[in-house]
Amino acid sequence: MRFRATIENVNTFFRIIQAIEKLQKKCIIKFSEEVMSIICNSETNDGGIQVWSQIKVDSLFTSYRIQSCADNVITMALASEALLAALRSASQPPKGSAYETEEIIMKLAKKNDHAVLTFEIIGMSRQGRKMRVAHDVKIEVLKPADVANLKEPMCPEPDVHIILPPLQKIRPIVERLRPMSDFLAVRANNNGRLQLAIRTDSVSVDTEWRNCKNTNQAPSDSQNQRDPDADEDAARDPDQLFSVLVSTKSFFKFLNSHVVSTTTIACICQNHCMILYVYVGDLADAGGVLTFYIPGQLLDD
Amino acid sequence: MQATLDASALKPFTKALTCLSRYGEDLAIYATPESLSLSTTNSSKSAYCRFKYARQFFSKYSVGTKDAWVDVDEDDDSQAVTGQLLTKSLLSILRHKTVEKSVERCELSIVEGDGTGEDQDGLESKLIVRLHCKHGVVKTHRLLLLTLTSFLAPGVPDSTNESHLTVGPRTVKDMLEQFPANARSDPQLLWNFAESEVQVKTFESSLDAKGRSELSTELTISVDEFDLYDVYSTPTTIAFHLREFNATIAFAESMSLALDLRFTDPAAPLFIDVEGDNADTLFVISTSQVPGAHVPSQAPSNNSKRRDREETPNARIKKSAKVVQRADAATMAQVARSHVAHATAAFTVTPTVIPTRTRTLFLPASSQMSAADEQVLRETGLGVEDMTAEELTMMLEGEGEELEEMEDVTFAATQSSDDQKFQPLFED
Repeated sequence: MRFRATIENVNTFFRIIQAIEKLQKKCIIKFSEEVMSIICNSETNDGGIQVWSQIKVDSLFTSYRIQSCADNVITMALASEALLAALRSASQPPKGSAYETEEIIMKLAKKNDHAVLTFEIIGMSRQGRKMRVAHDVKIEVLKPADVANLKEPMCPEPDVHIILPPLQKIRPIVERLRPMSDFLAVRANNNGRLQLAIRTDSVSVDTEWRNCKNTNQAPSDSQNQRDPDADEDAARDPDQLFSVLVSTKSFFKFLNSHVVSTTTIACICQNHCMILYVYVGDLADAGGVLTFYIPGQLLDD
Repeated sequence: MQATLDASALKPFTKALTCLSRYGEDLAIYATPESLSLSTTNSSKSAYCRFKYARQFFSKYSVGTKDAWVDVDEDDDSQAVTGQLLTKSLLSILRHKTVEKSVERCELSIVEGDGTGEDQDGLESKLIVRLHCKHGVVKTHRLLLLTLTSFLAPGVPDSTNESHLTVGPRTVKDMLEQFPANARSDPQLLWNFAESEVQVKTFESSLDAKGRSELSTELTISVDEFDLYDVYSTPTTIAFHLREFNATIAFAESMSLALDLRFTDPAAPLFIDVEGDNADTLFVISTSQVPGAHVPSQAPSNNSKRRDREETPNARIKKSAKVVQRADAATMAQVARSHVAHATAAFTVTPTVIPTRTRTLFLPASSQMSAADEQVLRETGLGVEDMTAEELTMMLEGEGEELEEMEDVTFAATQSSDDQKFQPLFED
């Protein structure tokens, strides 16, 4: 089992991990020849949120070399916080301080009898001398049986696809809603309307965005084959709002991906679930997409 | 004691207090006519910090009046004013957001309780902080000053095998930034000083929590980053906790002063000096045992320390776990249960002084006692870990010795690894 790559775009890599770090303590990363998948599918996640992401390795790495008995795929579990810390050090805050990184090499290694993912950073100190930093993140390589069990959740075809307003704008609102209610209703229609609402005994808050764009297509993901039947959509009332009730905490955690998102498409399956596609980089490029699955909550009323 | 700080002196003074607050909770004030010292020790007695301001630092400075009591322990018998209070009490006054903008000068005075007046306990004194601000506003704060019960201070290290390094604060800060900082943990770092490069890596002793072991970091830099690099014998490896070290670096960086590091063998504490204008600071951080580290051989009595200026007696104390030591009757009772420490250092000061010698009975790797017990033993500063059962009984049953009776005792002759007999300092 061999794995080595030079990280070209450490800032993006850092932000991707930043987006999902708060979701789960340990996440799973699957490296294949072309794609890096980051999976957070723990059952204990807030509100049942799951992330399945696919990033093209070309958009982040160069000199990418992978070799394994499992079709050159390596799947590992590691602590998200540790990975984040290593990447933070590698991406170095642009304070104008410290040093500039010359090269960052990520590779699979064994230290003290334990498998680690090593990040070797060669940089320059403030005074211009070479400085070498190495971070070893402990990993657990998953057995093929466990890897086979990793399956993306199955969802019905969504009722509406809408492009969300910038996540940075939505975030402060949900931040305010979070202490008020555990559940948040997300509604959208095919006429560009998006609503976030909470209703409790003491308070009810509604927030609405208009003039959002709708889209018929979800990203071409093998898991979500959709046939864009334009006729069928036209027959429906475009003003009809489709809603799903989700855990406010989980939605807020999803909003952490504002650090990395360019475009985000929300798909709502009425009363069932919500799927959010967060694009990393250009929509057209499809360099990478983080897919968030948030199950709908069923309340007795 | 009366001291006046102008606005420009108040800034470094406040920075010093900030640093002191990161080391320990209690601030010990020791004022002599020549200088004012502020010091603190952390709760596990593994780190000590002392700021000494020469009288020239202040715009006005005077210590001792006809009424002030004479401090008994001062070597040269001059009057010294001492007191102790919570660092944060003083710091919160000086760090108030209005201070920077409007304070023109700050007057500190210590008024001793004289047994008359409202004070029940005549021995209590007050620290009065008077802030003279713009527009004629004067803010006066009165803080209760507790008596300084025991003055803990480190001894000056022996210099034969001393390694000496000087480094700019920015350089060190850049280095340490690479190590993930965790608010809840206090990681230890291992420093390996070699010929041409220095290696710093996260160090986990077996006692550290497992959570942190998810990530381990290693940094390598050239020795040229150091302004002065004089290592007694390479390679030398030392390990210590980061928390207090970071406070020191923050202070040095805020004052743009270089750090002067000195250490001897890996088991002895790390001494850091930061010298500024009319202000001289000393930081001592205890080091941890590094398994398999190269320990240069040296004579047992090497680590005896003697602090010349402080009011401590001429004690020669061997290595013990703490950076500073204090023994009192209460801790003696706990002695029996404790054991081994992985932190080391050596200084002392206290009424009772007991000689110890090189590690004997309790080897660091021994599993006779738990780490918590270890700590307690070390905390007593009695050097129990180095005693035999007989010695221990003798000590427990004997009575405390008086400070004044101590002469310049050198233990060298009586201390050898083979000699297990306890030589009490004085006969009761």
